[in-house]
Parts: sequence; C-alpha cells; structure tokens
Amino acid sequence: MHPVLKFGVMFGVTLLLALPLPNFTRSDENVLVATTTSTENSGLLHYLAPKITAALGFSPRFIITGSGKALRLGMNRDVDLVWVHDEAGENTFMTAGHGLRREKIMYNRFVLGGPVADPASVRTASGILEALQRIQDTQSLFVSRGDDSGTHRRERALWRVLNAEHPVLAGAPLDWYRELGSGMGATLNTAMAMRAYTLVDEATWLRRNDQTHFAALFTGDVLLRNPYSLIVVAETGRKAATDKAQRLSDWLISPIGQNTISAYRIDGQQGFFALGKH
Amino acid sequence: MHELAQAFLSALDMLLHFDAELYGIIVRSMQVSLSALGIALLLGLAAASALTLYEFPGKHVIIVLLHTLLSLPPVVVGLMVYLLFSFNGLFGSLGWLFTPAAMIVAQVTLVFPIIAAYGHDILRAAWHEYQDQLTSLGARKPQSALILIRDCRYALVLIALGGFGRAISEVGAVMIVGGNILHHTRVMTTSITLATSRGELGVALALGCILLLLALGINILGFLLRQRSSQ
Repeated sequence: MHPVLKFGVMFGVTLLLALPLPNFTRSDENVLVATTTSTENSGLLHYLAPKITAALGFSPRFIITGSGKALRLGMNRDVDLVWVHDEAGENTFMTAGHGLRREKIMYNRFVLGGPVADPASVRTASGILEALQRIQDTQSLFVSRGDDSGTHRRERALWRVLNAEHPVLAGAPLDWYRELGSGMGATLNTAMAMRAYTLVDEATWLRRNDQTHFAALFTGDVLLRNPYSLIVVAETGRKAATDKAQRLSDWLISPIGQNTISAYRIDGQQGFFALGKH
Repeated sequence: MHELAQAFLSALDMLLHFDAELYGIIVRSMQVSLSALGIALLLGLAAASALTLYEFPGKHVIIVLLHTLLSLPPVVVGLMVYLLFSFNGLFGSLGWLFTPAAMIVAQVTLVFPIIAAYGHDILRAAWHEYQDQLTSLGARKPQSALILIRDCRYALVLIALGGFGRAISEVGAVMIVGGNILHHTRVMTTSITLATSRGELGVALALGCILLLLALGINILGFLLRQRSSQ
C-alpha cells in the first residue's frame, strides 16, 4: 500500500474510533455537579442517581473531588452546581458572588475511628476536643486527610479550637501526626494499616465497619456534625444547564428529595439526615 | 501473593459477567487512548521527519526539549490542559472540559514527545544509510520522509506501543481534565483510583489486571503486525 494511503487509513480509523464516543464534547444541556468523595464513597450518589433521572428526566454528571477543589471548580465556572461540606469556604464563595443560591441540604456526622486497643482512651473522653487532646498527650498516631477537603478542614478547625497555634496547623513535622493528601477511603485504609486514629465521616465508615481491629471509638459530639450545602454556580453562560441545576436543587430540598436522602441506609443505618426547609 | 491471584480471578469473573458499566469503561479507555495515539503518531512522525531531513537554527534546542518532555508528569499536563479548556481559559468556549475530547488532548500531549523524540532517533539512523541513494534518485524531502517511515516501520511500531502504554496507563491527566464522570469520562485508570479511594482494594487490583490484559491484547496485535511486515 502507498505510504500516504496508509497514513490516510490510519487517520480514518482513528476518527472512526473517536466518533462513537457519546457526547464527545459538552453541550449546555449537561449539568455538571462537583461533589465530595464522601457522597460518592458512602454510596449516596449511586443510590440517588437513578431516582434523580426518574424524577427530573435528566442525568446530572458528577465530578468527585474534595470540597476545596469542588468550590474551586465552581469559582472557575467549570461546573454548574457545587455540593460540598465546608461552611467557611461556602461563605467565602457566596460573598464573592460565585453562587446564585445556597441551600442547606443534609448533614452526616464525623466519627473518630481508631485501633480497638485505644491507646489514648478516647472512648471515655467527654467530648471530641478532649479526645484529640488525649491523642496528642499520649503521642498516639493520628492520620489526617491533608487534602483540603471538607473533612480535612473540619479536622483543622477542631485542632484550632483546642489551640489557636496548634503545631498541627503550622505543618510542623510531628512524630504522631501524619498528613496524607488522600481521599476518605484511602485515608481510612491507611489509618487501619497504621493502627492510627483518624476523623472519618460516618457514612463512609458504615460501609467499612466490618473490621476487627479498628472501630469508631468516639461519636456524638455536636462539634462532629457535618452539614452539606448545594450551591448553584452563577454566571456560567450555560443557561440550560443552570436551569437544570436549579431544578435539581429544588428537587433535592423538596419533601420528596429530602425523604429520599433520609431513607438511604448503609448496613441498615441512616447515613445522611435531611436538613432542608420543608 | 494470595491477593494477586484473588484479584486475577475476580478480574476474570468481572469480565465474564458482561457488566455493561465495566465494558463501557473498557471501550472508552481504548477509544480515548487509541485516538490519542493516532493523532500523536501523525504529529510526532511529522515532527520526527522534519527534524531528520531539515536543517534549521535551534534544531538541537528543540531535540533536547523534546527529550525533556519525556519526563513530563501527567498531572502537570492535566493542569495545563485544564487551564486551557477551563471556562476562562484560551479554549474555554469550546466546552471540551470534562469530556473525552479534553482527555484525548491531554494524552496526545503525553504521547507526542515519545513518538517525536524516539522516532527522530530511528529515522536519523535510517537517513544516514539512505541519504546518498535517495538524493541521487532525486527524491524530494516529503517523499524521502515517507520512504524512511515505511522502511523503519518495525521499529516505529514498537515506539507506538510504548506511546500507547503511556496513554492507557496514566491517571493524573485524565482525572483532572475528564473529571472521572460515570458513563462519560470514567476510564480504567480513574476507576482504579476511585476503587482505591473507596477502600475496595480487591476491585482496584482486579481492574488493574483487566488493564494489563488489554495492554497484552494490543501488544500481541503489535507483535503480529511486526511479524507480518518482516516477512
């Protein structure tokens, strides 16, 4: 075969391979939602997606990342809806005019997981702050997400309440404090392998609580409440997608949407608690 | 060792269950990476030929830069492509971000230096051998390039396989510019990352086995191609 012809055939085959890709590029019709690893890793998204499609007639596309990056994607107008848990970051986002509307949608809870042997005896702590103080006092290993996610930001906020100039916040090298830069599931794996304590959201934990040497040792402090918000991103220039983002928000905070979220069970336990206006 | 065997078995099990989602992910991976390879081959071989046959100022700088690009981390490519295709980026209006198109662009960027740099090495060696002959025949440069490429096709297939390996196995770039969206931009490597983040290490490893099987298939094809053309 003539080499030019061969080249032509190769290029043709390439194009043919690429063509059948559904929605090769994006149209304004697709709603992009940036959300956190906890909604995905807990199984909530997988449970909600078909119900959303049935109720609204379209399927949002979910980008799973940390709260920090999700807000960043919204700020850059690259997504239409942000679904995160980071109150301080959300406030900044709204004040800067990046959001059209913000809805409190649900909360779940953080738990302090750790080795069953519990070297810092956090089980008997009176509150999460005391539990963390005990970990620090006994120099027990603690694993931090370290990825600027909502969970990481909450953990830092707790250390900050304990001590405004806590060495953990400055990133000083500490023998007992290990910062990972990983998602929730990966961090949990690491904590289990290292026999370390870690802050984990309850929904993710419930999917993994089949462990023998690792347990949720401290729960129930009001400081461990983890509220999620929905923010419709402003001025994206994608009107059809913004309208759909609005409809999706409307549905999620409606009584039906809220009941659907509350009805989600992980191993028979409620993972998320509705927080909407109804 | 037990975990690996287990992962391999569950990989086979997943394949045999004909899970539509899994097959969608496999097909998408192949489409994105083969498209990227095709485009990178066209651009890369053109660049390699130009570097072989033409003399121009700054040529050596370009060659050194091309070889430097071989060390480009996929995450950095992902960030660059993200910034270009972001809403406020140079190509933001195309609406390619979080689509397979952006993933292909990122992988082309990763594969192009491999084809161009190594392709240039091979074509240059062949050019040393054939230069007098081709010049005396009066072949023009584009013609000579095609003859060289044709003659070096065994070696070039190997490079193409290397480029494909780089494309199909990278996760940093496609994660950033594709967004790992289910049914749309989720590919093998981003699925493996997601399964790891879920803590499903067995599933992640099984997906890794499937990825290796795919690469095996492509390499067998490449091998047969070389065999056939060497006869």
